[in-house]
Amino acid sequence: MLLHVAQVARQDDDGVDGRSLLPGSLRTRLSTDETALAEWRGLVRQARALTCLGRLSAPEDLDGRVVAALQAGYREERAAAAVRSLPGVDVPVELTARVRRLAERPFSEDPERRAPRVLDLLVEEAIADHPEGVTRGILGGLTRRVASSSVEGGLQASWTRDRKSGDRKLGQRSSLQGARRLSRLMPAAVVMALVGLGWSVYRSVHPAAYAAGNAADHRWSFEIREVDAASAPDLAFLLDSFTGGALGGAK
Amino acid sequence: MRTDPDRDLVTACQEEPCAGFEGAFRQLYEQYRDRVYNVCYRITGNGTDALDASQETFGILFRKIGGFRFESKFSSWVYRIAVNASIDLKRRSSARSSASLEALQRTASGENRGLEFLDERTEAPPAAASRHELEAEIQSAITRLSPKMRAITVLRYIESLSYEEISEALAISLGTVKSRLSRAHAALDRELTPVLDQHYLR
Repeated sequence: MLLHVAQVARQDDDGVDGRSLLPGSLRTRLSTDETALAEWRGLVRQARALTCLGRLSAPEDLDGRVVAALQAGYREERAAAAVRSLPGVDVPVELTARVRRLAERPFSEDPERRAPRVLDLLVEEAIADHPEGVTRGILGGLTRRVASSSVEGGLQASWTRDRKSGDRKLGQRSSLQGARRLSRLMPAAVVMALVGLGWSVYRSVHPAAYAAGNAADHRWSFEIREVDAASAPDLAFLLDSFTGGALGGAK
Repeated sequence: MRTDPDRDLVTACQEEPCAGFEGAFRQLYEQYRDRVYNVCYRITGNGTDALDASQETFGILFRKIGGFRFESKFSSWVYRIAVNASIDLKRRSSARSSASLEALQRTASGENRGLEFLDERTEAPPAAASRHELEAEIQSAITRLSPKMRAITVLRYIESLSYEEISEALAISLGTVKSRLSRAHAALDRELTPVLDQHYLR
């Protein structure tokens, strides 16, 4: 039945459901089978509804779009063909020589690629103290970030508190250092006191040994003499005697 | 060997690849312009997608006509490209189907420039409005079918292709054509019966 539905739907018939346009065998069956007839009528109604959809004419926009698409595609193909037709470029001989030089040259002797001096120091530090070297390497790769203003305020307050507490600690530290100094000087003072006491005891025990050089036994006397000009000693002689011969020239 | 009415034009296009949109290809374009647009419109359900699909169809034809070997009719090949382009576009723009139905309903007031009927009859305004409304609902029913059933319905009842031509266009067997058409009718029966009952079509 499907085969004939589309054809029947486009043709006007003198019947309600187009059975007159069907082959004889099918027409006979529909006249005796109500189910088939109902199905046929449903198909015809659908087909007629579908065929009543008018044939649309393409809008004028399509012409311009197709022309543009074809020209664009044509231009692309021409461009691709032009690129494909480009001749191959021969590799210059110099390239081979350069590559050979690079391959044969040891890495350390390349004067253009000398490592900076600081690398040696960093490697030595890393070898000497591997964890520190690794840490420095990791920290060096971190990006610096700008602290927020709130952090600065907090730090200021913290520093102010620390300075005050630091002064107190400094005083505490000074007193502590004075005690340490005193503890070191005490033994020296004790030693000096003992030496002085011992000297005093020795003088009292051995006065004669000490008297030889005792400054208390030295006596000074002065004699006042009037002299006249005739008996005045030679001034030069006096100077000489006072200066031990330096200035008077005494005999 | 089957006789292909488009053989001469296609051969001329293959021999003149540098002619571009002029010459034989332009003639083919003029010949298939409305058919391609109809198929694309009925499958996508809206004029915007139909324009895109039609443009895509002719672009593919232009690029690949040099490799056409007449293993099938040229018209079958054109329909196949148009159906595939429409189904692909419909999949990508399925969200716009409701807007396209509104555009189709505006046809009744003549606002949609894309719907210019070739066989428009002179009718009284109420009848014309009713006809446009019916067509809009029928189109809506077609749009609700699956892509495969939609394609076979359009090719059979709007483009009037035979089973053999549909089989060739869609690259499916005759048995598959019949089974798909049968299922399409069953689906349309659910969609169209209330509409047709309302409009008292025979």
